Amino acid sequence: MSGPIIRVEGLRKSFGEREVLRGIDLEVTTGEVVVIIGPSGCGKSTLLRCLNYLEAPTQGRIWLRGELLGRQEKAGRLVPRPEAEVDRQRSHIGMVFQRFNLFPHMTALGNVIEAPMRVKGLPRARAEEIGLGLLERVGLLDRQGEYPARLSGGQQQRVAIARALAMEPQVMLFDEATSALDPELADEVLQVMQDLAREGMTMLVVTHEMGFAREVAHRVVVLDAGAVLEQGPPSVIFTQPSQPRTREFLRKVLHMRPGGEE
Amino acid sequence: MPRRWSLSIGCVLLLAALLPGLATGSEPREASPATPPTGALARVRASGVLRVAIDATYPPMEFLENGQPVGFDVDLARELARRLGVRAQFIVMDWDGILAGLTSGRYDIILSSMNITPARRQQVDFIEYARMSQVFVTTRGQLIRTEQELAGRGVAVQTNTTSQRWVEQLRQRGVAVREIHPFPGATECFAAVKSGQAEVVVIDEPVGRYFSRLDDTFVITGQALEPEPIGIAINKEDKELTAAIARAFEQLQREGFLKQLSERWFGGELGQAVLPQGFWAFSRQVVIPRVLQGLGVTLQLTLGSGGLGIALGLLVAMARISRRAGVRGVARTYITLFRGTPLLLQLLFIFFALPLIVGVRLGPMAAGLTALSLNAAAYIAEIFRAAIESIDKGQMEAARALGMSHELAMRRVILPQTFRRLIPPLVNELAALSKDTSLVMVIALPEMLYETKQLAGTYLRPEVYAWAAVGYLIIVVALSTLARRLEQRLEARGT
Repeated sequence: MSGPIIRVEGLRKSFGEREVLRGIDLEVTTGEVVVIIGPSGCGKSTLLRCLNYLEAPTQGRIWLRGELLGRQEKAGRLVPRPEAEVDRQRSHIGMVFQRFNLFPHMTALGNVIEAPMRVKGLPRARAEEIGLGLLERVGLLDRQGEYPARLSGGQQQRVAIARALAMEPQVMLFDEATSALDPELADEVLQVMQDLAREGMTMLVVTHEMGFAREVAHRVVVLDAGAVLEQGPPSVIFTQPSQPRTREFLRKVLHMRPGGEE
Repeated sequence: MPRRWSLSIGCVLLLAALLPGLATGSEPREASPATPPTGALARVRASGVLRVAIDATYPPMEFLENGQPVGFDVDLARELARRLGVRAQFIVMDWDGILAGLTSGRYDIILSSMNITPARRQQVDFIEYARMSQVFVTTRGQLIRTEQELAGRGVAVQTNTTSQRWVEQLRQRGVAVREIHPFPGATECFAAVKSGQAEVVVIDEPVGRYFSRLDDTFVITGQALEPEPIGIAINKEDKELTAAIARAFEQLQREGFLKQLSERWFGGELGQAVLPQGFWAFSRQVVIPRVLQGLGVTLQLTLGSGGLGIALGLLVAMARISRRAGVRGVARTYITLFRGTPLLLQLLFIFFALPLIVGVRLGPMAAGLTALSLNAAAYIAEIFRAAIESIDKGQMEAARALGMSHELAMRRVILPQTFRRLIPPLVNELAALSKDTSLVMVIALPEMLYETKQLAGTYLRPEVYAWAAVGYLIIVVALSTLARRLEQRLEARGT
């Protein structure tokens, strides 16, 4: 682990009157796996969406490898970056969604090679080579020609992970990647995520899978009401949380089946 | 009817009043025209002779051959007399005095292709026995079917005849006849066409038929509207004679005698000169060629404005959902304007008002395409917008998260997913558009309905409308078939 790859400083996000993120500071080191947990509506998803600028923060700054996200300094003032710049920055951050969001009019392989070809400009042959490698990695080489409608939820999510990896991101964001899946399908996705972590991918994972958090996370961040309640290694958070609200939250989630909410 | 018509009514009346005995007859003169007042029928029966006046200068209706009267009317008169149990005696009269001779009792009837006119009706009674119209005679290979098709042609007519006047009126009504060549006689007219000085003779139907039978380089390819009736003239007080002749005539008609006579003299029945009779013959020879011609224009308009409308509609839809408020406003205004005013108004505006306002003068086709495209785009834009907004937001987010620009994501991810949803409403719109194209007839663009109206005006036959309906159905059915195929292909793809 070397140097912070993501730095968040004073991040605030409001939707109209409602302030969802109330000043978040966070640093993620290269190769680190950070699991973000917290009750519904605490702002976990919004935090991830701000991290790749799908939502523009209301206040605060985010750096990716030292480069300010979404904005730039001009004559001593912060101004929005041109959209093409933001697109480029975003392409370095992979994101996996709760509902997979595969492109239904493209095959599994088509989904994976689309961005490398259209955004990075790779020739088809090269993109397919990479794409097939990634599909193999998520165990779906034999389903490369299928359209998403003919894949199970777990398979779709694994294709979605391959699709995000195809852009060779520096960080991967997982936004409740298994919440929409039955437990056995969730497991195959979690397995892929675990492999990815082991290979050294920097990951920010919003999840209700406490087992995954305990086993895979280097650090667990507890978010509550738009702010970081506490953070630390899973061994500490899950056994001796310092905050009573953390204890309360953990008691609740550990007594119910993971998944399915938010 | 050339001579008969061209005579002014006033002149006829004058002659009727002043010149009872001036006829230049070359026939046996009746010594005592005013016979016992027991009525004409009794008198005819008593004398055994029906006295028939003809003006024997009008082949093939009545003319002299070796000094003897012959022709359609002559044969008809003979047969009518025979049915009355008498024989016909022909009195050859000059046309100018022919009516006066009847009223003064010099003969019993006039059977000489006389037009039935209101003025003449006041003087004498008529039994209508045929209808005649102006026919278009041309050389083989040429095809001039309707009045409109006389446009740009050199037309030969007989001087001072109905035909000449009719063609001149046609010209005033806006049919651009290139040149009218008046010749003194029918023979010269036909000679002119044969030698190429004129392209078509417009002439009375029997004459046209007669000449085209004599010389088979000539064919009758079309005719004018509204054939005019000709009749047997009989004095008003001779009611019994009129009734007897009418009965005899009806009998001849029933027995097919008249048909045979027409066949013999004109090679076909009068009043039906050119119209092929059966549904198929008429459809094939007259209707379908014109409807197809119109269908071509309608297709051009439908596909042209459909294509342009889709392209423009997509742009407007993009503007409509743009993130810039100004751009959205422009798109909204456009849609409101073109959906909120009648297409007909837009069409008239572009064709008639634009030249005055900005000096842009568009031809009918360009104006039609412009109006239809602009109008269709407003509707199609909303179709696109609805389809785009119906796509799950997650699709755009997933695309953007991969680093795609908004434009690229729209083009590669969102729009392709809208295709299948777009097909049904777009087919609807194009089907409506294909029928809206008929509005361009107001700017004289000859699309299918325009052609249909023209044909209907000429022939008044139901086939005309039926084939136009078939034309539109072909477009719409082809469209929906294509759409179904496309949908199936997209479905197979799983979109």
